[in-house]
Amino acid sequence: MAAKRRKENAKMNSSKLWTLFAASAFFCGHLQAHPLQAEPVNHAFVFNFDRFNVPEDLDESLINGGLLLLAELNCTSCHAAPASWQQRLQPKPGPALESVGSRLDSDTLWLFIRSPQNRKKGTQMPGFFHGAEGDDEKVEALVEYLSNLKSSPAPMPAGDADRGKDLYHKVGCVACHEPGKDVRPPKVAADAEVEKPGNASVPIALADAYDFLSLANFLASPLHTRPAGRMPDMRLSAQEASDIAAYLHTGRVVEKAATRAALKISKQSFEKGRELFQTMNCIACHKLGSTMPAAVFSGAEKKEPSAPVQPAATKPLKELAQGQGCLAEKQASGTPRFDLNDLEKRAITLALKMIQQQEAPQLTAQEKVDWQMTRLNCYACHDRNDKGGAEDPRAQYFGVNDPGAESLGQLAHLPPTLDKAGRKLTRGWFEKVLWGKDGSVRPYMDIHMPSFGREQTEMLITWLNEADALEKPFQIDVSGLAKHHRAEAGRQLLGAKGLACVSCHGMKDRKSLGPPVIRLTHTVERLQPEYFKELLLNPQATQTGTVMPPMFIGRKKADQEIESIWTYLREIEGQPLPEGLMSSADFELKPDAEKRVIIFRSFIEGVGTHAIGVGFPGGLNAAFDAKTSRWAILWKGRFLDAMSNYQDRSMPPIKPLGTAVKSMPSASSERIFGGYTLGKDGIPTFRYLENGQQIEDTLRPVKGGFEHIINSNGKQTKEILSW
Amino acid sequence: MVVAKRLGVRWQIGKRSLASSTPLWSIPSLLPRVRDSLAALLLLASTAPAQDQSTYYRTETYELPKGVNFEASGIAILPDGKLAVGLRKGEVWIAQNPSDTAKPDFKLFASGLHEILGLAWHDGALYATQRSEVTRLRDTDSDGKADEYLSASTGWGVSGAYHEYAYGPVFDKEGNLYTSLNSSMGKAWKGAGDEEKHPLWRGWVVRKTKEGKLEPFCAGFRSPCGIGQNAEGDIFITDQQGNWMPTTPLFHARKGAYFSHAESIPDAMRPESPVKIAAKQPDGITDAEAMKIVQGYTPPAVWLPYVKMGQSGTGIACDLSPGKFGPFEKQMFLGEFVLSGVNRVFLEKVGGEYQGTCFPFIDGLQCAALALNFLHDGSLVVGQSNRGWNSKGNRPFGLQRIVWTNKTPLEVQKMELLKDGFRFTYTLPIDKESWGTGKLNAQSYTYPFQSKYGGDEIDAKPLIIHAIQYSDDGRVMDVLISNLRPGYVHEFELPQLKSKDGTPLWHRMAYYTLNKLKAE
Repeated sequence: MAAKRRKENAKMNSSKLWTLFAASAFFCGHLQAHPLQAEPVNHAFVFNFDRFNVPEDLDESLINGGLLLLAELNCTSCHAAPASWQQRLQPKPGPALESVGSRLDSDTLWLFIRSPQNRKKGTQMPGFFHGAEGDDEKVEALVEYLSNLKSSPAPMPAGDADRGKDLYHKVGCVACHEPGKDVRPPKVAADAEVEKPGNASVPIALADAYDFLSLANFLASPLHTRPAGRMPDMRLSAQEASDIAAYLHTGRVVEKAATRAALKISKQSFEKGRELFQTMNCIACHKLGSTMPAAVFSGAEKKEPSAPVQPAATKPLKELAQGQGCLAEKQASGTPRFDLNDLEKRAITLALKMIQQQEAPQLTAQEKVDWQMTRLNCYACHDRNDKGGAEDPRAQYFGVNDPGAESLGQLAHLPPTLDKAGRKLTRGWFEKVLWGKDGSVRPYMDIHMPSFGREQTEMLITWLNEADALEKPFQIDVSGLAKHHRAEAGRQLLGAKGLACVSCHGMKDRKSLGPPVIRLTHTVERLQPEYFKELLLNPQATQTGTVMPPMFIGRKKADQEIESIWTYLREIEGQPLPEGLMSSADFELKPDAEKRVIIFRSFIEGVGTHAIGVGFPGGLNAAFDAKTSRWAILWKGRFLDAMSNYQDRSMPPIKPLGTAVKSMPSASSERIFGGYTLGKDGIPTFRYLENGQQIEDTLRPVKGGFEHIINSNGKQTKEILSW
Repeated sequence: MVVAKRLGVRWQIGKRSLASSTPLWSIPSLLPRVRDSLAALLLLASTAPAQDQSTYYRTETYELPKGVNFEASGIAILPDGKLAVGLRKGEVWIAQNPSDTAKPDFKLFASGLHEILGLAWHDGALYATQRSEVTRLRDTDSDGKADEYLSASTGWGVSGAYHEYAYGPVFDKEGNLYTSLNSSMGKAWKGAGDEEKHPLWRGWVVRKTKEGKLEPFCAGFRSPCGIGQNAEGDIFITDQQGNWMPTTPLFHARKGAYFSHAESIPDAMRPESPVKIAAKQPDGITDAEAMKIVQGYTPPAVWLPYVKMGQSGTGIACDLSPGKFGPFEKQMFLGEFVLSGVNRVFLEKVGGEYQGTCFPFIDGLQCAALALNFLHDGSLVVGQSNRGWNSKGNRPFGLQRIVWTNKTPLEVQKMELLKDGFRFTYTLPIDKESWGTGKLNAQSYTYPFQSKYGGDEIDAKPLIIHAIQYSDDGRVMDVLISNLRPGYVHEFELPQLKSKDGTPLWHRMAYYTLNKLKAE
């Protein structure tokens, strides 16, 4: 009886409540400057529809916008597209609701389901309840069902709102979402007004309703709950995700659905909600996992779910009448309400007409690329063939973390243009960039390249390859087998005394000598060799806006040189770095922890081709000439640089690194070198024959220099060498 | 462009050999490197499946000490079976468990030497060849580290020019120590003193007699990177293509022999030289002609045709195990730098001189093969480094070993000269039916004897085959030919034969260097 009374109450009040309801959304933001306070969008918001379409557009150009809406608003989830249109209009998976009950409390769910466009302005989620008899109970049942879909979010670190604010603006969130009004972009003068984005922002009005842990988890891996990738995975660390979550929660007050309490609807059953979820065709967009979370069946509701109920049949796109359903002036309860604006309605009407009249036109590879980039909103950050790229009021937030990169201008700040990308990157590198790991080669850039998920992007690789292929690709022999395919030759060219590529390009852990342009470490994995050659031969024509100088114009052996550089880059692991990037410290021989004597044979200046260097702990060094069997030089401080022996092909003579190099007198007699033996202390004793006599010759460091010990025929002589 | 032309030749041959399933040209290893070239299309068009060499020989890669540029350039086996490896950076490491590539347990034995390019065990000590000296290394206090670095051989010229490599050593039965010395290339260094002007015995093999005297032994080498011995203890040298070397040769080194590289002629004029040749030699004749008219010229026992068999011969190892390495006992295995593999050589004596056949063997090593040696368990260890030159295997250094899987491949085990043809002996009995409509392609060609770099195959003619005869057991096949030519390489491409148990012929190419005809 009580339940029935509540229901009647609700019915009495319902019309009044519906009108009040709209106002509640304006209370949900709390700080004037916060991104959640973006000016609301009052229609179903598809970023690139709004960006690329205006009311002044002619019909023929607006049709594409209409197709975009049909696809992005998931119309084809319920209204099947004709076969030829299916690929293009493929719906995207809606948010996964398996654990929505952990993310949102029941009041927020109630507010959102009852009127999505009120709770989250601009949402693409349609409303289904227009105040008809029984709607309140249905909403309540759905809330009951969804609130029980729970799982425990993974633990996350505590977030720091200030750090989060910084991250939110620099890693790229503001490419789509609203910048905070209290954040000044790094380059804007103190007295200048910060320009506001001209395009509306993707709403994030539910962020502060989220449970903190769920929000942090969502930001850390959004594709988990939103597999469509429209909110891409920004490749945030757990800490960064928590920090941004904390920022979005700034000043958060969880909204209570006062109206819901006033309605006093009796508790609806989980099972009824579950059935409604199917009959109202929520499952067309929101796929539930194959297994229900265990929590669903707790307590009184613990029973096996009944057989799935068939959703109401919907008409295919081809049979939809103009101006009906969501396009109608007044909509009946149960039909999806998107709050489309006039331009959107016009666009959809045009698109529908086209679909109903003709087969889908064959798209070129470039048109397919453009279509997918538009759907995923790659254009928010990248431009390709003069379309897209971040608009300046958003781009101004993207900075660099390396002051050396400032001189590169927007090349360092902004995501790269995607012109020719399909013949630039290898498939393997595309995979890293689009959904894998370690694809970033611009560590100086603050903005992150997000992952959109493999399903959303894999096809792009093939299309890009096809769209950007040259009819006559550049010829490059990367067999590594031609005579000039020598890593060393390539190393010389890259080095400071060659073409000086190292002036701008670092390698491995070494910075360049100048600005921190892309390091060349992964070039061979990353670039297609033909593109590598195309770029090197004519950088400006290949990559518009590049600051790379045209080093190879007019070089007669450009072909061979480019192949040599490729060979070096291919074999970079284990090769010495090019001159300029390397410091002698890389190969400097230094006493180890056990302070052992170091012995090192090489060509040593001041000694000759048969030199044996001896580095004693404590900074005393000497070199023995095995040709004349004598100590040739002594010196102090640093010992020798082993690079010649360890890395160089040409084995150039090496110089003592230290100071106070003293040449020793030449031997007065003919001597025959015999070698050396090492004492327990590692000190070598040199042996030679002099006039048929076996001589043993040792240097020992003592205070002030060396003690020079000579054993001959049972007699020992000692002298102190100091200099 | 010479390179393109060479590559052109290479791919053509590659295509042909691919059809013969020669693994040197297998599709997966080459295709990514020849993108978009016509060659790639040709390769793709071929449908012959490449045989997987791992069916017969497994390549294992050694786990190496971390942080060490393990440019393995010398390999010696100790009497207890341990594996000693010399590195170009001047260190010697010893693996305690060389048969376990995952845990070989390498320990540093010696360090501070000047570019080791060879290592040998002899009479209780390790001998490492460095730029200016062969050094005898011993651990006299048994702490696992050498404490005695004695000079075992020195005295050749060192001018500081970059290419003055020294390789070896090998020891003959009398205990003489042999070192092969690269001819001098590049700029000499003022700091080298008198040797800046003329470093002595470059391009020679020198030996240190047991009495301690350094003697010049034989001359005419360019870059004699491999020095090794056959089962009889005779010394062989591989050299590398360049001036006076049209392609990789395998020379039989003996006292007084001269092998064509003219830069060693001046030292042959010295009174102590055992090499007796003219002060000048003709330039631009054929090798076959040179054999007749160049005084003292000794042709190689085997030519390894350029590209077909590789581009740079290196280390030499002879299989002395009783069958642990498959059916090639007492044959020699040669490292191949550029193609990163190992070739096989069968030798016979004809008219008192070695000559014989080379066959492709192992392909696809991770890096340039430089030094070879057999472990006691019969596996072949290959030391690798490509510092200074390019190689197909693109790791900069490493160590691998090749292990026989105990499955016998169908191969031409040996190929001997007959009076009027060649005798092919197979490792397994041949199923004669498998010959089908296949064709035996055969030709002979010689090389130029010239100061110009490298040299094409010249004066090529098809061999006229007038009969093919089998032994009853199917192991021996005689190919009778009416136009054998001394001074020419005789090249054979066999059809896709099968053995009686269905094993397909693994390698179909064979190259016999015919210097002397058989009298009987």
